[in-house]
This record gives sequence, C-alpha cells and structure tokens, in this order.
Amino acid sequence: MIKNIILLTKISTRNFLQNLNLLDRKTKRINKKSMYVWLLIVVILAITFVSNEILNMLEDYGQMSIFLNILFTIAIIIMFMQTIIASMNILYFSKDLEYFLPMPIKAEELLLSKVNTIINILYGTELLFMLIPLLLYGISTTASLSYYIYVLLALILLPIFPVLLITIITFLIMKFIKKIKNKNKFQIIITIFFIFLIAFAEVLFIKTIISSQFDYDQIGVNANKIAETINHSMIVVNPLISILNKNQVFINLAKVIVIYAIMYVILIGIGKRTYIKNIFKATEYNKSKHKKKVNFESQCKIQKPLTSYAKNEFKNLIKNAIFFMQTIYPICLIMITFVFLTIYFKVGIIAKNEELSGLLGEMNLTIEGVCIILGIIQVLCSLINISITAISRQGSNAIFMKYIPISLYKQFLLKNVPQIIISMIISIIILILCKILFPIISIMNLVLVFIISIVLSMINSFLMLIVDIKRPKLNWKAEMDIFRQNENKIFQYVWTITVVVILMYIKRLFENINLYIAILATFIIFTVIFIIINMYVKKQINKNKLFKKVI
Amino acid sequence: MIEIKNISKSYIKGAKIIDNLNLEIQDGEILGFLGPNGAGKTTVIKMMTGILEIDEGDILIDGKSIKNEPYEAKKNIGLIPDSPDMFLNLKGIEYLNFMADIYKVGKEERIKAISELSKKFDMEDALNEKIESYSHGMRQKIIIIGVLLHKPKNWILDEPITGLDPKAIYDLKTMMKEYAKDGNVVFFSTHILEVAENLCDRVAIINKGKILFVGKIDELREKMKENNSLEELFMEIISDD
Repeated sequence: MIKNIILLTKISTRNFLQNLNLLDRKTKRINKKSMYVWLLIVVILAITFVSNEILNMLEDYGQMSIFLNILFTIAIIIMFMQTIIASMNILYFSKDLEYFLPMPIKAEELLLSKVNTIINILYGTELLFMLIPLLLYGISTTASLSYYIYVLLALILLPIFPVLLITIITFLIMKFIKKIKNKNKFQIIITIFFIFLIAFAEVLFIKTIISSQFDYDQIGVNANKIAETINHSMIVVNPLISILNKNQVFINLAKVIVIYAIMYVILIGIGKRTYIKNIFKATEYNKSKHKKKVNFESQCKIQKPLTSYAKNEFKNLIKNAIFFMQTIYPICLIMITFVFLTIYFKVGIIAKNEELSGLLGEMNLTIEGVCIILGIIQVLCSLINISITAISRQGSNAIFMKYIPISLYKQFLLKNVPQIIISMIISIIILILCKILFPIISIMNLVLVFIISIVLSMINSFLMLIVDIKRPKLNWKAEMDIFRQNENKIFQYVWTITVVVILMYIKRLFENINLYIAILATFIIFTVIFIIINMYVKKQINKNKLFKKVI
Repeated sequence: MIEIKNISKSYIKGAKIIDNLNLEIQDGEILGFLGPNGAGKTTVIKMMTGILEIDEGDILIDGKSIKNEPYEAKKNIGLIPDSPDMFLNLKGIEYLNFMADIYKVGKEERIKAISELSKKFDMEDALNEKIESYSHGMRQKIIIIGVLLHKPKNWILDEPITGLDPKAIYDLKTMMKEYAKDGNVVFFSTHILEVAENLCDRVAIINKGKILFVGKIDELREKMKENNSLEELFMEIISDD
C-alpha cells in the first residue's frame, strides 16, 4: 500500500509541476537558461533582504520573538489560499484520474497520494518563503544545532494542516452533492464558497481582535497579538512555534501528531467510502434529461461584432473554472483580505488610538503617496493572469483570430478589455480604502491617481498580451498546463519591478514641486510609454510580425 | 472563385515547404485537395485563409487579395479547421450566435439558418448544451453550422469527414454538392480517397509542397494510362514523385 501511495504521489506531483527545467537534463546542473531559475534567484534575494531588514528592526526594539509568530501567520495564510486553489483540481478534476481509475488502486491509496501531492506543492512554497527567514532568524539569535533540526521538523509538519483541513471540507461538500451538472460552474461555486468562508473567518477574527484588550499604542506588540490569535485558531501553529522556541518540545510535538492522526482518521474514514464515487460525480458530464429547446427570439440577439467579441472574452474567463481560478480568484481573495484589514485598522486600531487617528487624519496626498498607491496597484495587477494567457488560453482555437474578418489590431484591443476592467476595479477599491484610512485626501486627487492607474493598467495589459502573442503556449492537453508551464509570468514580475523603480525615481524627481504638476508629469510619462507600446503593436501587426507564432 | 498564384512558403530559409504553387478553383466547383501527411495541404489552406503569411505569390478570394485586402477577402471565406475543439465553454447556440455576430448575419436570417441547419444535422436538441459535452462528430457539426450561417462564397474544409458518423458524412457530402450547385466554391482536403472520387469535380494532388496533378479523375486515369481506382492512381503518382 505504501509503495503504491509513494508511486502515485510521484506521478501526480510530476504531472502537476511538469517541467520547470530547473536542472539541465544532460548535465544535471542548474539550468541557467530556465526562467524559473532566475525567478527563484530574484525571489530568494528579495526574501533574504526583507527578512534581514525586519530582523534588524526587531532586534533594535528587542522584540525578536515576534518574528516567528508573524512569519508563521503569513505562511499559513498563503498555504491556505494555495490549497484552496489546488485541492479541487488535484482531487477531482486532474487529467491523471482518467488513467488511474482503470488501475487496481484502492480508494485510500489514490486519496492519500493526491493529498501528498498537494502537501508536496506546499513544501515548494515553504522552501521559497520560509526556509531563508528561519535560517536568518537562527543566525541572528545564534541558535544551537537543535534549532535547525526543529526547523526541519516544523517545515515538514506545517503544510499538512491546511491540506488535511481543506480536503476534509471538500470531501464533506462532495458527499452531500448528488450530481455535478456542470463541473465548471461547480468548481466556481466551491471556490466562491471558500471566499465567503475566508471572509467570514476574517469578520470573526476582526471581532475577536477588537474586543481584546490591546495596548493600542504599541503597533509591533499588536501585530504579534494578531499573529498569535490567528496561529491559535490554526491549532498546530502555536505548538510548532513552541517547538522552535524549545518550549516543551515533546509535549508540543505529541500534540501535533495527535491532531494529525485524528485528521487522517477522519479523512480516510470519509474518503475510503466516498472518494471514488465523488470522482465519478466530477468526471461524468451529466446532460440534462429534459432537452431544453432553443428559444430563438431570446437566445439569438444581434450584437455588434466587436461587442460580441469582447463579451466572448469574458465568457471564456468566467465559464471555465480553471481559467477563473487562475486569473480572477487569487486577486479576489487578496482584495477581500485587504478590505478586512483596512476595516480592522480603521475600527479596531485607529478609532481607539487618538494619536494615530490624528496623525492619519492629517496626512494628505503627496507625490510619495501617489507613487506608493500606484506601486500597490501595480503589484496587485501583476497577480491577474488574464492578458498574459489571453492567447494561450485559446489553444488550437487561437488561429480563429486570423481567419475572421476583424482586424488583428481591433482584436488585440478587445483582448485587453477583461484585464483592464479588473485592474480598474482593483484601483477603485484601493483608492476607496485610501479615502477610509486618510479621510483628508480629496476625491479630486484620488480621481487623478485613478486616471494614472488606468494608463498603468493599459500598459501592463498591452505588454503582457504582447508577451503571450510572441510566446504563446497553444499545445496544451489540460487547461492547467497553460498556467503551470507558463514561463511568461516572469515578464510580469520583471515589469512590476521596473514600474516600482520608475515610481521611486518619479518620487525623487518630483518631490519638491507642486503636487498637481507632479501628477501631470507622472501622467505624461506613463502616457508616452503607452503611446510607444501602441505604436509598436500597430507597426508589428502591419508587418505581419506580431501574430507570427499564432498558427 | 479562388486563385492561387505562384505561392511559396518556407519556415527555414532555403527549405521551401510550398514551392511555386498554382491552382484555380472556379465558382460552382468542388475541388478535393489530396496528399500524404506532411505534403503541405494544411499549410496551403492556412495561407488561403490568412492564418499563415505568404512568402511569395498571392491568393485571390473572389478577386480580393488575402495579402493586401485580408478583411474583404475573409468576409467571403468559411473555414472548417482540422480541429473542431473550439469554444468548448460556450453552449452550441451561444457559439452560433457569436459566429453570426462576427459575420454580421441579421436576426431573421440567422434564426432561419440555425434552425434549418441544426435540423439537417440532428443538432436541435444539443444547441442548449455546452460544446464541451459534445462528441467529436457533434463538435464538427456545430463548426460546420457556424461557418455556413453567413453563406460564404468560398467554403474551405480541412479534413471535414474525420470523426463524422455515416449519416453526417452523407449529409455533409449532399450539402457540399448543393453548395457548389448554387455557384459557390467548395475546397476540401481529405485522406479519404473514396469521398474525393465520389464528390469532386476535380482533384489536386500535392506532395512535398508541389502540385503533381490537377484535373478530373478520368484525366488522371488517362494520364497514367491505367483504369485503376483513385487509390491506386494516387499511390502511383505519389511514389513516382
């Protein structure tokens, strides 16, 4: 049984991760040509820098112990989000299930291998986001060898919790569903359910925090208390932190093992009987028994070709669960968290701290503020994968663009519409949150920032679409391949870093001039960039160069 | 009418995969485009429909150059691509409506065409289902219906028979004949020589990017001085090359 589970886990994990090409196949050395290697280097450098800065700051305040709490809180939140996105797909909708089902594999073997696959994915996240900060913490606190052994132990144990919890919840949901009429709709509904679940948890969490007796003059201590509250609700996190702090190591380890044992028993108990049945529910396509006749009058409405085309772009995103979850869903989760955090700060901290309230109440918009807001919007928009996969998502259909009687330039513009609209919604939410936190900022000023953010969104979308047109991934077997095997994402990160650098430079350049002139100058800079990009697109289309790879 | 004039194409410099190809398909004619795998059939179709750039030469669709007036030329083309897996997330009726919008088909006209064609292909009950749930043959049928909505003067089909059931093949063949009879061009590539033999006014045989023969099947028999089936003649002409 264990042999089978290990084998299946290996195949499922490989199938999910595909080829990141981190190692050169021939030489078995690091593949310098792989974009993922460079992306990894950039992320590792950034995490090292940020961790070091935070550790130095905490050391100055003599509050080093806060570090572990905050790190674990951030990690567990990221892991929960990642598990929600990956679990449904891996457990019920992955392509390899079609190959596994005819094999003589027991339900629990398949189930545990799938759970292991999700845990393996989270190990990757952990290595990226947690290992270096934990090592730096050990160095800063001159920890002994046992600390590093405990780090290894904590890293192995931590991801199991979110995976087991989310898997049990999805099992229960699947158990009570009789039939899945439309698997795309079903997946979208489930993910929206999780969004509400997270929102509900955040509301409860904020209520708890607000009713707690915090010392509102000490933000650092408060952050620690917030982290402690989250970690406490995640039952295994505090025991793991205690292990790292060498506090009742064996008792805490026993606690974690007992919790996991109970969760595994529940998981196998439910899964043994229902997992395979539930997979059938997900893989069968249930056509409705009562054929619904077409109502030509209502279903055949005439639309202008361009409107119809743009609407079709949205339908393509919203009607496909994988596309929805990989493009729109992550940013929805993040925005909800942003909104709740802002409400928490406003109601829970600012309202109870006169000094802070007075300070924020007096803060008006400066060019520095404009650059920070635009920087936040840019970072958030880099998480939307709409334009960067607009052509790849169509797969072999992409040639459709070339034989219909709509000019390629117009189609290029229309393909940008979804990403620009979502970016605009994000900008509006961020600006509203700014108004809530800094009430003195005038609406007029926020509108001006919004206008610049639109230009920035357009640049972002145009550039990412150009990247996808020039390097499309059209030959995919499963929709997830578009996102898993998409090396183009690196361009999005590189562009975001470039924008942040430009914004830092703008801040320095216009620091001492009138705000409106500075905003106008910023607007002109980004508009010029946009015009240049647009001219490039037109020129490339006229020369038949832009869509050369779409065949 | 489709006029292919001295077209050439190469993906790698110096290695032409289509070499100085000429072909003319008259209105009211069904032309079968035959050739082994990798002969260049799909490449020619892709150049005819504006999917691939033409390196040398030009293709005129009803007198409009696909190179210089692509928008006008494409209005007169209806293409059935080799893969029918298109817009899988849409319902059949949504796809058809989308195609009608793109080709600016009026409301009355589109309702009439959708109801007639869906009846002809037994697709009436499936129109409210997602294309994703269709079988290969049904997907092929919905693409065919979508293409015919705007009644293109030039109907180009890349391997249209693959995956269709016998009744659908019969219906499609009948429709192709009727379409040509109405004065339109029907140009299709196929591996199934029987279909070409029964259906085509003329055949064009392509191998290694060059046209080996264009004409009626009887003319081919005459040329080869043998009274064999098209299959045998095809094998012979390909092996001679």
